[in-house]
Amino acid sequence: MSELPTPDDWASLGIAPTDATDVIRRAYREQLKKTGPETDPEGFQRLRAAYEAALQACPSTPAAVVGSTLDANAFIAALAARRAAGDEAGAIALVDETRAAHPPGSAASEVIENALLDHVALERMLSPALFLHLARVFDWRDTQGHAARRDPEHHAVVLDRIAAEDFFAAFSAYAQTPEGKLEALVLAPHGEALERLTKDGIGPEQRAEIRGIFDQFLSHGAFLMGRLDGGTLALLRQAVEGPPLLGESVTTPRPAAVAPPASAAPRVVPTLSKKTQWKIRAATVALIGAVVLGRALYKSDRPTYGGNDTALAASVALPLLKDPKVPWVDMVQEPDGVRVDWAPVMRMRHAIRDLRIGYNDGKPTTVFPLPQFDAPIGFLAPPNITAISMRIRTTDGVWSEIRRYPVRQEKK
Amino acid sequence: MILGIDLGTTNSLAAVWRDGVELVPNALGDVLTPSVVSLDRTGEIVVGAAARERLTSHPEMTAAAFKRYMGTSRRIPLGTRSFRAEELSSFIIRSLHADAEALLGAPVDEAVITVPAYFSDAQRRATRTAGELAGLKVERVLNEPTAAALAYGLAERDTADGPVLVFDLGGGTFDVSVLEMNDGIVEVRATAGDNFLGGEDFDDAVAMWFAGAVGMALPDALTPEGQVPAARLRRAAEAARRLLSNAPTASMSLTLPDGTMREADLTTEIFARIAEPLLERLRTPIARALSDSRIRPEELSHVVLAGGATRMPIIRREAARLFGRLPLQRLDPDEVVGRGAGVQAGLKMRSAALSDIVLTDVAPYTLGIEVSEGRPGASSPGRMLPVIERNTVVPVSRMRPVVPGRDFQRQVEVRIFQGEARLVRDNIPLGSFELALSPRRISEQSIEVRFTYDVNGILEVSAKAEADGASERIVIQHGSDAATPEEAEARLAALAALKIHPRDQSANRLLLARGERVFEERLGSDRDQLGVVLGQFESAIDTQDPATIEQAGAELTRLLHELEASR
Repeated sequence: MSELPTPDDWASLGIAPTDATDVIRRAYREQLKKTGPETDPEGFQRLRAAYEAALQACPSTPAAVVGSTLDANAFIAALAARRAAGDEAGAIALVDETRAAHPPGSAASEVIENALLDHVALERMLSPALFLHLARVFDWRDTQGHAARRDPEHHAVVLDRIAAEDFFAAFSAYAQTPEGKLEALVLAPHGEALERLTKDGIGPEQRAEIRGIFDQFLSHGAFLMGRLDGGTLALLRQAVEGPPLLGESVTTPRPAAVAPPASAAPRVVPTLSKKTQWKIRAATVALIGAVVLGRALYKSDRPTYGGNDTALAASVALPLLKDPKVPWVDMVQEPDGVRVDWAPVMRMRHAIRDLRIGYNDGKPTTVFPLPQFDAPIGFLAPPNITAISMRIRTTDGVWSEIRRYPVRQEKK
Repeated sequence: MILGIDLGTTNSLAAVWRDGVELVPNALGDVLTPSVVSLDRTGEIVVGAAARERLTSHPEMTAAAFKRYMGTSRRIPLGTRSFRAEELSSFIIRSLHADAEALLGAPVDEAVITVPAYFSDAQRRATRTAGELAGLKVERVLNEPTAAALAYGLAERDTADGPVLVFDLGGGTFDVSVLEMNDGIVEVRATAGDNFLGGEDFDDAVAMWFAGAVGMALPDALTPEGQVPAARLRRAAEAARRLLSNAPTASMSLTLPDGTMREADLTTEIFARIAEPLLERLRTPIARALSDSRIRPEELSHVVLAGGATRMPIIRREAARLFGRLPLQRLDPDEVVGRGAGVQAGLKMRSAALSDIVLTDVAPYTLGIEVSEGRPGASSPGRMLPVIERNTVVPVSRMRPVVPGRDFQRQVEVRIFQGEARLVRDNIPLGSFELALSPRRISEQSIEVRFTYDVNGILEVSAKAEADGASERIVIQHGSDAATPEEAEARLAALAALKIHPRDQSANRLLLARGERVFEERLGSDRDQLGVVLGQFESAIDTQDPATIEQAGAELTRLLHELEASR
């Protein structure tokens, strides 16, 4: 489509090469009378391609957004004032009034839309209601519209936020239903969440579900994390990861308390019991550009990647895990205790089938469940921990040597 | 001879080309035939005005506005039977077909049928099927706003040059098209629309307002006991809405099943308020069509109104306000699409008078396939990869290269979608097929996906593996419930067996239906009196003696006139 016109193209149009658009247009119309889409579909497609190529090669006149007396800056400032005053309804009304004053598709309405896209749409503090109103009235869900044409990358971020808002709305609605108990728990303020957790407790399946919920929230980036109560979040993380991992029973590890039975442990499926959704998300591997969904992948019982996963591919991680120079964890003495940084092993988790750990001089016998999503994982361990021992079975079925990681006294 | 058909949500009409467009009158002498189908007690199909009267008296045997279900597998019940939307539409087309043959005195076997520009692939196919079920070869499925523009292009040949916007608000759908007209060449630049916005929605809004205003529960047309009240309420709402076109206030009254009467006055102000959310929805498709066409509203040489709903003053006012100019409405908005269908029929017949008219149209939706996007190891599947972008001039054939998801994959599934959303789950699935691959690394594997879209809006998709030349192709059928040829044959036979009431009985049918409707609406002595006269008229029809029928008919007409005047 964006190729330069060939001599054949000019022949189709029946004119000598030119960059005068009106000459090209006239030639195209002249040829149309002989080569119409009904009378000669093949010839018409050649003619049309020639016409588009010829027009494309013409020096483009800058899109005239001028011709509007509208002061976009004043509009944005007025909008900001209403938002600052907490007047969301007033802000929406201002957008609607300003928009209604100009014909749809006119230069002025484009000026308004551009100003909103540039200065308002991606503000983190923009209220969901106002954002969704803008997205609706300016048709920002449209992937082929003005916003997308003007700046595809910017628009992609707008689409991300729309997706986040849609997810959050559906999630909140589900939390209102009798089936949405866990969803309601995630949305509850800290005090209420604590009360419910203490009363009902959560089982292994629900843990997996909560992991799945976190995964979904994380996949929407930073748009949604601020809507959850930080206290609730911390509480749930603790509940899901089991009792404080290194804070308890150093001398008598209790595998069952740390994780579900070994057989089920490494294959926690993080979904909201919407298995199909997980399958679709996880079952497809990407390549920049385009990838056709493979049916074979649907049949694969072992999803490899999912979501915004930055972990290494199994094939890359496998040799790294076996390399003694590459550490699995890092234990650092910090002023307020020992910090265990799991990030290295998490990054290589796709090549891990089983992970066992032990504390101090103990053998690594405790099953350690691997999170399936990309989470920054670090814990403060109690001061009586001086070392951690680890053993890994990699995806090729081979058990590793036992490695022992003592606390490093100084910060890296 | 080719028949041009405007198959509308509310009304349908037919046109033929004989040195110019001629609208086809039906047996009652009207060019508009209501798109209503009813089954009478003898199992005969009643179509048009008589069926419309039966909407109130026999709602369970009557169907209207079924165009909204075109392309779905929904079955609409008529008594103990049920029909798909394309089957009901085929009855309308059969009736129009008979009218045309009566006018021309010659057989007609081909048709051009118009559809909303924003109709999907499945809806277009259903429309085509409707024509075929009525025994016509469907030469072309034409976009309604394009038809409207053709009609205007011809009527205003000397003055209509330049960019034109067609604002087509019909009974059930809203379409916007931006066209460039130039010396007989009609180029559609962009099309957008809303498949669920039309005159019927304004009637629903009035009905809802009335129920609230008089404090009655909104009857549920989906329940047996709610059908009659719902049909009456709608009829009253529509009547009030039409009255309001010529008067500042329309009084609306309704007799409830318990015999009590409720009344409320619909004023222009109230109507403006309840119509507001619907008017708001007009804006988005207009902005989209203009933006896609890269034409500013101030550059338009005309704004053309089409579709019966643009008779409403509130719509004209809104159109004028939106564009800051007076819209053009020289042709009857109910007829303009039908006239355009007639012009297209003339074009198809290569009429000499139209030899210098050329029309180019566009694909109204983006068409593409599902893919994953992103870095390896951080992919998000379920994305839409556009292959043919919306408003591409048709016919067109476009190719996009893709690769499989991982090394040594043995097959890929090509899933085809239409729509403008980023994720395929928000778009409409059209179909899918599988392509077997010889396992190779991704870097050595490349697949060419080609979409071919013709002037009728029919899509063909093929995929070819570059490495070994294996290929698969698919012509999109109606989703999963596509009929096999045998099933289609059986359906055709079953429908052909259904008799449509004879044309020469149309006037009597209408009179009888009207009588039954008034009978339903009245109580007490009016009802008794009408019952007697209706009975006489029915027996007169059974005698098949023209003089007896005429006499009983005159008696019934006189009584109906009297009753309606006394209201």
